[in-house]
Parts: sequence; C-alpha cells; structure tokens
Amino acid sequence: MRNLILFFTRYHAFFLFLFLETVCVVLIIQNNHFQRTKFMSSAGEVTSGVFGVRSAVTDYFGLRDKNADLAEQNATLLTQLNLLQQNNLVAVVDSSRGVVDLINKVDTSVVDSNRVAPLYRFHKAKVVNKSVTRLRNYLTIDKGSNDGLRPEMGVVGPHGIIGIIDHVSANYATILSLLHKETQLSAKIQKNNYFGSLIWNGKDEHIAQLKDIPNNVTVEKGDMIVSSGYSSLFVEGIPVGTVENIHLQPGNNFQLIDVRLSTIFRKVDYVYVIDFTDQSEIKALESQTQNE
Amino acid sequence: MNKVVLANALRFLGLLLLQVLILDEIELHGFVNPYIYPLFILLLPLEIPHWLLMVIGFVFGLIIDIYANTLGFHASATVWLAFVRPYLLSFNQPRGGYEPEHRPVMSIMGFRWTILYVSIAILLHHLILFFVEVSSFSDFPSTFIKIFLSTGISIMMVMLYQFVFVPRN
Repeated sequence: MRNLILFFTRYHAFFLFLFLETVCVVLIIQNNHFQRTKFMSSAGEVTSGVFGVRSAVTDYFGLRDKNADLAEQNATLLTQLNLLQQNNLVAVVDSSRGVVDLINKVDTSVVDSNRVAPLYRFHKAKVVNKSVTRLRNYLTIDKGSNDGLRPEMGVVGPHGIIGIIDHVSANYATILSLLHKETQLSAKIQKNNYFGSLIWNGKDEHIAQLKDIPNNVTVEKGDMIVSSGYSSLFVEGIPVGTVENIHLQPGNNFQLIDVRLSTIFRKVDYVYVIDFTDQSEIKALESQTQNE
Repeated sequence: MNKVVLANALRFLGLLLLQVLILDEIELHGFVNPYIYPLFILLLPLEIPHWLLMVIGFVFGLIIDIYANTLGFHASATVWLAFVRPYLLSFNQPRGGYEPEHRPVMSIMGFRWTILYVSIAILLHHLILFFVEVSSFSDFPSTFIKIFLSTGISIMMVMLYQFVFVPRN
C-alpha cells in the first residue's frame, strides 16, 4: 500500500495529465453528439456579448457591399411577394418593422377550414459570429428563445440553406453550419426527385457532397440540388447548390456527387429561421410509430 | 507574488481577446489557423508547480474552446503543452542551469533560447490540436501542411509579441 501511494505521488504529474486528457476526450465525444452539454457554448450570454460588441464595430467596414446586397435581396423579395400574393400567401406587416412574417395560409378550401395557424414562419436574424475554415463550423445569431427559436429549426439565407439551430439562449442561438463534419441533411436532385444525404467532408468551404444517389440515376453538371422537405426542418425546394462533379465509386452502387453550394458562407450576414409550426406534431407522430 | 498573478491574469485576458477577436478571423485558403494563446502557458513563471501548470492549461484551453465552439479540442492541446513544458525547459536549460531571476521571456533569456523554446512548444501544441481536430489519420498530407504552415505563422506572431511587450522589472 505504501509503495502504491509512493508510486502515485512520484508520478502525480503524469496521472493528472492522463486525467485531464480523459476529461478532454469525454468533452469532445459529448460535443460531437447532437444533444451536447447545454451550458458551454458560444450561445452563452457573456460569450455572445463579446461577439455582439465586435459585430457592432466591424459592421461599419462593409456597409457599401451590404447595401448593394440588401438592395438586391429587396428586389428579389419584391418579385417573390408579387408571386406569393397570386398564390394565396399573405405577408404580415408590422407598421414599425416592415414585413415580419410570411404566412402560408394554405388553400383553405382544400384543407381544414378552421386552421388559422400558419405552416411556416420566417424569423429574420443577424449573424454576429461565424467560422468557415474549421472542420466544425458554427454561426451565432442575435435571436434566441425570447423570439420563439428552438433547437433543431432549419435556417436559410438569401441564397439557400445555411444549417440547423443547435443551442438557444434567451437572446442568441448557435447554428450548426452545413460546413460541419457531422451535419447531415436530406436533399434531392430537382429534375428527377431522387434524394440522398448531403454531407460535408471538411475540405472546401464551397463544395459539399451528396451521397446515396444510385448509380443508374443520370446526373449532369449544373443540375440543381434542393432540400427534399422530408426532414421537417426545411421547406421543400430551398436551393442547396448545383452539381459540380460526379464520382462513380468502384464496387459501390451509389455515386458521390460534389455540390457547389449556392451560399457563400463567408459572406452570410442575415439569415431566416424557419419555424415549422407542425414540427412537434410530426415528431410526436413519428416517434409513436417507431415505438410500435 | 501578487504582481506576478496580476500580470498573468492581464495576459490571460489580453491573449484570449487577441485570439478570439482577431486571430480566429485570419484564414488563408483554410490552411492557416494561427494560434497565439499557447504563449500564455509558455510565459508562466518557471517555478510554478507542474500540477498547477496543467490545471491552468486545462482551464485556459477550455475557455478558448467555449469561444470556438470546440469543447475539448484546445483544452487537450493546452494540457499536453503544460505537461511537456517542464521537460522542454530542462532540455533547453542554459549552461549552469536556471537562476532565481530567470523568467521564460526573451528579454531575459535571449533570442536563441527563446526561439528554440517557442518553436518546439508551438509545434508540439499544433500537432496535437490539429490531429485531435480531424480525429483521424486519414487525411495525413493535408493535415501536415496545415500544421506546418500554421506553426510557422504562430511562431512568428509569438516572437513578435516578445519583441513588442518587453516586461519591465
């Protein structure tokens, strides 16, 4: 016993090293899991506060570019608004803030006429922090649970899909970017509706990979890839990108498709969080079905 | 003693903000992610107990992790750096050993001692950090390019810091 204690005190530094590294490894493994330890992330009020201050300063440097970008977005939105009005969609306008919500009323003559709640709501949010060069990239936005955000909501930008909400604090939320090794998303080829999983291999911030598309499906460079709508995170048909390259894998029935993302993550400033009001209902139903 | 603690606390804060607000924004083709924060561990007093060094390294790395959303990655690298620092110091011992007035800064130990100390330490830190980050040995060449480019830039910045912030006695 005495020898054992001597042994431990003699090499206490090494054992402490082993212990601390074990803690790190546990943290890393937990961290990779989708439901992570909630309390330590940059959605924390203090951490986000620091990023908020930086964002307030650095915002001034890109005003010209941003104005141009916003003007372009306005033009696109006006066109879409026009289109939507013809299609039985209504914009909710707040007198002080402009358009705050787009509500899909759904053709009430076809569906339940008592239904007043909208299918989708879009919350506008500003990106206060982001990374693009890591293997696991995140964005932090300035909306949180006070604004009705919850984890696992889909996030889109003006040009296409951005990611999925990961953690939410009162006033901030972190987004698991598409550029994250563990993000998986259901996407389909627009022209023939074959769907697969979109993943990111961590190499190029402009290129993601679409897998699980059978070899016999013909895909051509330039084909549009859009969200499939099967995940209840995203509306169907939101652009993801275009086909850049097709790899036939020897000995494998599925091809791997390189997708050039339509969103340039480095330039993302404003995003829209999709609040799919029936998400919880669908989830509950699905889990019930699985349990049987 | 209190002066030493205060100086290190300020450096802790300064390097943290420098890293999180400025250096984390630097990126060249995704291959260069420079890190200056390991300097905090390198500059802690020579006589600090080994266990305390590692605990400080763990806490510091964890705080960097919280900002970078990478819980555990930086902490594992800083704990490793804190673990090897005493061995590195004795390997790099000046002739006649360390004197009580010695501190691991360039203005006292000289350029040659410092560049050797800093280079090995930063390389060891980056090796662990980048390999833990990819969590596999599958993409060996590109990880290696990343490590060496980032190590080069990090060493330059750490040395620059030593030229700019000369401690007064």
